[in-house]
Amino acid sequence: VPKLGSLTVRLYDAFCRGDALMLEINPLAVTADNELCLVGTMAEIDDCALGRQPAFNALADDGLVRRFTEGERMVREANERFPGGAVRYSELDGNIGLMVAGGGAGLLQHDMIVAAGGRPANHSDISATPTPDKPAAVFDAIFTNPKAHGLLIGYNYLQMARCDLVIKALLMSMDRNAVDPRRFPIVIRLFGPAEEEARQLAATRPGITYLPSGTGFAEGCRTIVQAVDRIAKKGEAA
Amino acid sequence: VSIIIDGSTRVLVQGITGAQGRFDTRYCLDYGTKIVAGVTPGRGGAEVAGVPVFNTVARAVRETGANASVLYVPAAGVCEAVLEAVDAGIQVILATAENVPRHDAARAVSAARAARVRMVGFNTNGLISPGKCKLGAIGGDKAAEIFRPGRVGVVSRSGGMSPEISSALSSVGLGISTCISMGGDPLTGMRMAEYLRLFEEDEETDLVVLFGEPGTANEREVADALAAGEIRKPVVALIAGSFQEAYPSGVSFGHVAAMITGEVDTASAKRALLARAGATVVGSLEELADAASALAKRELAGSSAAG
Repeated sequence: VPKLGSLTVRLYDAFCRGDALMLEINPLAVTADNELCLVGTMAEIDDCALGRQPAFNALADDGLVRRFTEGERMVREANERFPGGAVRYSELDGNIGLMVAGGGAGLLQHDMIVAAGGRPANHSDISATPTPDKPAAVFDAIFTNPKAHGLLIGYNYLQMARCDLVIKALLMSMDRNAVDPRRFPIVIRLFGPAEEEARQLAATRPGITYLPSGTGFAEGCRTIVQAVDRIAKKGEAA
Repeated sequence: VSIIIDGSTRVLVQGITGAQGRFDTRYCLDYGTKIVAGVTPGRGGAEVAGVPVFNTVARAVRETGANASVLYVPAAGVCEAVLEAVDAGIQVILATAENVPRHDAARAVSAARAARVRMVGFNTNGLISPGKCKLGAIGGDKAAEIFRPGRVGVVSRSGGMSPEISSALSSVGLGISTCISMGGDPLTGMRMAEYLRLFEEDEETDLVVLFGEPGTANEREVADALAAGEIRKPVVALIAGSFQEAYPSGVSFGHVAAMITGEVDTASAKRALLARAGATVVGSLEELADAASALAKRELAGSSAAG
């Protein structure tokens, strides 16, 4: 078939220039006059390269599996607008809001919540940020998610984020969304720089559970699962 | 000597004049890492924490004899920075940038591998051989406290889990030979099985702990190496992320690389493969510490019986 060689070269060029992870031509047809015709094409574009692929970035809004929720859209916007490392947030079907970091510790805690009989309302991941804006966006998303009935803040031990900055973001968002931790349980496992200041800030809101320094991941997960269960049972009784 | 880095490693920092570069450089110097040069184009002649800054890696290597480089160059420019380090003859590269476009990562990784450079990352917070050297942020200003010297090798796909694992091991009296946060991006310079092969040859390591996640073939390759008898030292594995199996594939949680694309990528499948190949698979840090402690005692008994 003539032109197949040059088509292959051009496809590879498109694959590279478009930052594709996958480029599929199926089927490829040869017409009666021996021309090549791409009947079906499918491509997967690298999320991490969308910054330099404005045309694909505009299409990316539809999400991979389903449309983004209001909360997910809010966090994505905050991620682009405010300084600091990447923040990710995806909503799920359960009722426990998760503000967990880093990537691996977040996966482990999510597993442990499921093992303790709980169901997370979202998954999240956040790196250290210089301002409270990004973490506050995740808190806003969790507090405005109608499915969420409690919040676990579970950062890995000796992470580099300032604890007081995370709690400042929490209080900002609690005020904006009128959250009462006596009705919406909040459990915090957050140790590291400026922990003392963070504990003093958290103590200004009655009902927040700030776990003692050194508490394990499993204990933090059990605590939030039990607290959300208790509230749910109270609701049923009333 | 420990794997990859030791007390004689001479380190340069690419992007030393940025906020993260300055911050980590100070902690690394305090720890005792020999940071001999910094590189920031256009800032040659400056100094950061007493470390001279050069315009190019080639010049810095020529003047200071640096043989390892830590890169605080952001994702958009990191590929070129890796190529510059490889071309200058650097032997060990630590690439901290996260969410690096895959095509850039592929170019950088293939250049490093072709030159037989040991490249850690992308998206790593560092590696440490306690008492000898640390590269990157790992342990922050508490590295000496968290990472006690000992005979356990650790390789983790999560930077945040490295100190957690080390603390858990400390609680049962075990220390670290080398701990590597191998990087959370899908493409990394070195793969998990390669670190295990280095630990296998390392006289200062008795057993290896690994932390895995869904996505990538890293854990499967370790299982293959175990099954083939290439790795004979005991391996303890903690694999997080089984909850993902309840959701559609193609969704990434946390690390970009932690995405299931097929059944073999799941945490459960990896656990099963590793267990079948002879690793001790655990479900929490407490279990991890207990398993490592039991295996370390057995190694000790074995070596004294042999001796």
